[in-house]
Amino acid sequence: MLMIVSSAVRGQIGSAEAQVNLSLAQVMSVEVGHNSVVIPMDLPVHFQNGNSSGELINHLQVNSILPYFLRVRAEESTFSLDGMVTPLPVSVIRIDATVNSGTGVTTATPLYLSASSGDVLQSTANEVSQSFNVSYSIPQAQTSSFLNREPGVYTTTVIYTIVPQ
Amino acid sequence: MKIYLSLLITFVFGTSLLAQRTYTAELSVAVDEVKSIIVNQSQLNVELVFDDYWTLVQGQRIDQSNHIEVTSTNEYEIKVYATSDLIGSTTTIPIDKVRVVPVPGEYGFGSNQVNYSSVQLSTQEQAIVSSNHGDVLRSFSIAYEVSGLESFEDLPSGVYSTTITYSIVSK
Repeated sequence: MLMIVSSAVRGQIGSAEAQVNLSLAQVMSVEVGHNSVVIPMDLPVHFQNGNSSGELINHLQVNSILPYFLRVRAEESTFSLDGMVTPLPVSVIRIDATVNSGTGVTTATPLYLSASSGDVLQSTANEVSQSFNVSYSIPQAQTSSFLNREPGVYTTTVIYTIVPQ
Repeated sequence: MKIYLSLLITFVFGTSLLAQRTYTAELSVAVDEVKSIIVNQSQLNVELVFDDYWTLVQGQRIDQSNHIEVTSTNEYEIKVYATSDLIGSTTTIPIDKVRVVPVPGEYGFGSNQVNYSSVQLSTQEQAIVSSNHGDVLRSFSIAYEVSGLESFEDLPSGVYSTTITYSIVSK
């Protein structure tokens, strides 16, 4: 905010009070409902058929007064294990979003996780407030990437960003 | 003369301003070492029938297609042993008369090199398959062979049986 105190103000005698209430409306936001998501790979069927986090209800909450893209990316291109970088690519993870509730027409596009941003949602509507269910999965075609790996918890940080169209 | 200027500016920071355009979540894949082996449920009883002269002389063989199915996240061996000799009602046949011959199965996703070893059955575990890599799913066919039983011509007729156990282990 720029405050210009002009000579006119200085010329006032007495006191003057003004109350300026600046209330900023929510313009565009995204919130993730589950801060930690785990996909177990500890049964033969997980490797034979693939596995997923299951559908995470209301995983994404989006508010926007503008048409938007919701972009997702991983912090790194590969998973970490005990804080150490591994060769296991994050691209084995598929993200599927479906509308749970809210107004506005939104297109959800399944995509594989990457260190580059991809559009998982886009909406051409104005004034939307929506929630989405999300499933993180390892499809059958990707399970062989987990062969010959050290057992452990492989982690990555998933970053969602909402941007105007 | 004093001039007072009091300007009260109130910024109303509601929760709306705390909302973010970027939000993160931690995604983890909990990977465990997995090994499993299944014998084809339609092939739990394997019979080699010796009901004529030629089978007694030449021996007998039966092929069990896709007899075993394995999943392994890492390198592995498949081992086999018999619980006992082939036990009949009054006598037995040494189990080493039975040979187990592993060959590639007809389905599975494995493309890695796998080494096969035929063995004469024993009550001790013996490796029949060895892989330096994991397999999401791979099947193996097994042939059971019994060489000529001329020396057993005097065996009483009947059923001689034992239990064969397959296991999968790390190398």
